Order: sequence, then C-alpha cells, then structure tokens
Amino acid sequence: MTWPLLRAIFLREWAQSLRQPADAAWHALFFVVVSSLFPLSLEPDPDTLRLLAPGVLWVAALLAVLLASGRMFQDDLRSGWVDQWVLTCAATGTPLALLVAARLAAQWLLAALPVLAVAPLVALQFGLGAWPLAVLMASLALGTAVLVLITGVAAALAGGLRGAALLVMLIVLPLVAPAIIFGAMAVHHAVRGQAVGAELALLGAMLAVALVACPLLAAVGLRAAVES
Amino acid sequence: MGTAAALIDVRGWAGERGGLLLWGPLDLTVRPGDVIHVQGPNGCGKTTLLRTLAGLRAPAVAQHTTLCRDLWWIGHASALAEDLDAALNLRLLLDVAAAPRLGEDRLLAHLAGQGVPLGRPVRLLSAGQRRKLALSPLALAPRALWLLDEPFDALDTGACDALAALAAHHVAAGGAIVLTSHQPLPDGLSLSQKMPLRTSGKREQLSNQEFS
Repeated sequence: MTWPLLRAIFLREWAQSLRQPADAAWHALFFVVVSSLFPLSLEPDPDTLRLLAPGVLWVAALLAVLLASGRMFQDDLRSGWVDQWVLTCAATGTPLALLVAARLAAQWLLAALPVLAVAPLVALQFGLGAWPLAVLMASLALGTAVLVLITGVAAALAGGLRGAALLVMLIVLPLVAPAIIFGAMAVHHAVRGQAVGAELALLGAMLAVALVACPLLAAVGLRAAVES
Repeated sequence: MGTAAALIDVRGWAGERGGLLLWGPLDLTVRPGDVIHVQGPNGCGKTTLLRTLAGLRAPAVAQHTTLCRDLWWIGHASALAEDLDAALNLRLLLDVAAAPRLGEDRLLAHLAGQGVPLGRPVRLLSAGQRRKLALSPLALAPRALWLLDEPFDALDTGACDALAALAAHHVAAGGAIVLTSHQPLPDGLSLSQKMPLRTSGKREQLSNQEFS
C-alpha cells in the first residue's frame, strides 16, 4: 500500500524534471559558471588555485543545490498536492515523514546529482589530482545530501510565506556551516596527502542524524503549512 | 443514531482564519445518502469548513468531533502537475490517495470518455478539462464521503449533468456529499440539506495580536 504512494511522489518530480530538463541543467550550469570565474579572476598560479579549490568548489556546489531546493514545497503546497499527502496519511496511518523522505530523495537526485556530475570537469580547472577529486566527490555527495535534508525542513517551515527564499537561506546557512567546514577540510587534507577519514566520517554522521531528524521536522512544518 | 451510522458528526464547531472568526457555533451530521450544500457569500469560510471536515485543519473550537477518513477532497487547487499529461496526472492522483490500482486502459478509457486530451501537458488544457481531470478519481475509486469545493465550476452543461448523475448514483449507493457551489445545482442532484454559514454574532477578531 505504501510503495505506490512513495513511487507516485518520486515519479511526479522525476517526470516533471524530464519534461523540463533545462531546470536541472541550469543548476549544474550555475555551479560551472561560479567556479569557473574564480580561476579566471585569480592570479594564474597552480599553487594558489589548488589552495582555493576545495573552498570554491564546495561553496559553489552548495549554493547551486540551495538555489534549486529552497522553494521545493511551494508549488506542491499551492497546488494542493501536499493536502493529498496529509489526507492519505490520516486515512492509512502512513507517517507523513516517509512521504517527505521520498520527496527529499527525489530532490537530491534531481538537484544535486547534476552538480556532482559536472564537478570533475570543474575540478580540472583547479588542477586537482585523482585522489583529491575522489575525496571531493565523496564529501560533496554526503554534504549535498545533508544540505537537501536541512533545506527541506526550512522550505517546509517557510511553506506558504512570502519572502520564503530569504528565510530559507537564513535558516539553512548556519546549519550547513559544519558540513562546509568538514567537507572543504577533507579536500584540503587530500590535496596535502593527509588522512581524510575523520572528516568524511563526521560528514557521514551528520547525514545519519539529518536522515532521521529532517523528514520528521519537515513533516511538522508541512502540516502547519497545510493548516494555514 | 438512526438506521445508519453518521459519517460525520460534529458539534459546537467554530472556524477561524487569520485570527478572524468565520463561522460557528455549528453542528453538522452527515449520514449515508446525504447531500449537503454549504452556502454563503465569498469569504464566509466555505472552503475553510470543507478543509476542516477533511481533517486538513483543526476547528478553532470544538465540543465533539467524529470525522470520516474514507473521503475524496477536491478543492479549487487541483493537485495537478502542469507539465505532465492527463493520464500520468490521474495515475499520480490515484496512487497518492492510496486508491486501488487500476489498469492503464481503464484510466485512458475514462479520460477519453470525459473528452480530456491525452497527450498534452495539463497546462495546455482548458479550465473545464482540468476540472474533469481533477474530478476523475470520484468515478474511478469509490469512497464514502465526497467533499467538493465548487465542483461545477468551469464545467459545461453536459459535464454538469454527468457529474450530477454520478453523484446521484454515489448517494444512492450509500455515499454522502458535502459541497459548495455558487451555481444552481443540476436537476439530477437532490439536496437533503442546505447549510448557510454564519456566525452567532457579527464577525469579530479572535485575538488582538495578529501576525503579519
């Protein structure tokens, strides 16, 4: 009974994104443009670029995903799609958090995966080697997942409000600061040939906590948004 | 309790929106076979009442509340994805409502019967075609209670009569309907109750502090 329900939530986003591929491409393009402007505007010195690469790539990737996800529930709330989630949950006893988790999983695939896909190309401009690149990809995969989950909570809370985009930004940025710090640090260490296990483990721990907490919190926010 | 158990039984309900008392105190019992027409001018809280009956929001005040969960709620906002075609939208609507799964040919046959174009994205459909699509779950998956907000809006005469016939069939089979409509109801649908919405006094502010 639950599976077709989760499939429907996932499929709606997936099919919509296939009909509008420009949206997904736009987020990846934003990432490419922002991170490409840095090598052009800095002194063309390989050491400087390698020093700046982790921070620039991480910040650009997070901004791209944040811009893509900040309004993720707005249309769903306005069109009454979320109303149907709440009604089904009341009728069948399915936890709303499960439906939210399906929506967030779709969001990560559609907003973060295109950015991850072009990250190796951009990393070339900064002269990142194979190992730092692998660490960058791993840390970005974990970090963008944390970001999408936290943004989901903020987007649900901001729900039907005007000026939601600004509010989401204000809520999310302090909360993802630890992910930026440890993620960029992991890449820094990889560039210098040091061990990166601790940072990646911390990112994984953040993701584990966010996976449990964020769908529950977002469900609370969505219920409040449906009520208003 | 009479012969049939009530689907909805609420007493002493009051409705509020944005700190403003809209209606109440209100008593309502909906039994199988009932068709209840909620009436009132724009902004009097008809949609709020229907959303509250659906369980989407809580009443501001309530003495007793028994709600029915086996329902279709079809409001103004139709939960359709603008870029997707009618068949996929209908499939998604049924699936997300946890309705029993129907074959693809059944959905397509229903949509073709309704005159809804199949291959086009919903944003290119007319208001009447969108409404037909949004109302389609009523015919495809039976549920005890229908909560319909302006169901006849944008429908042509033929579609109104078809919906009325479907509703009459639903009611004869022991279903119940609570609806709002500014248009006169089609002849096929016999009302069991008209319910004008009003407050006991004049509209008053529930609280002085309003959040902006």
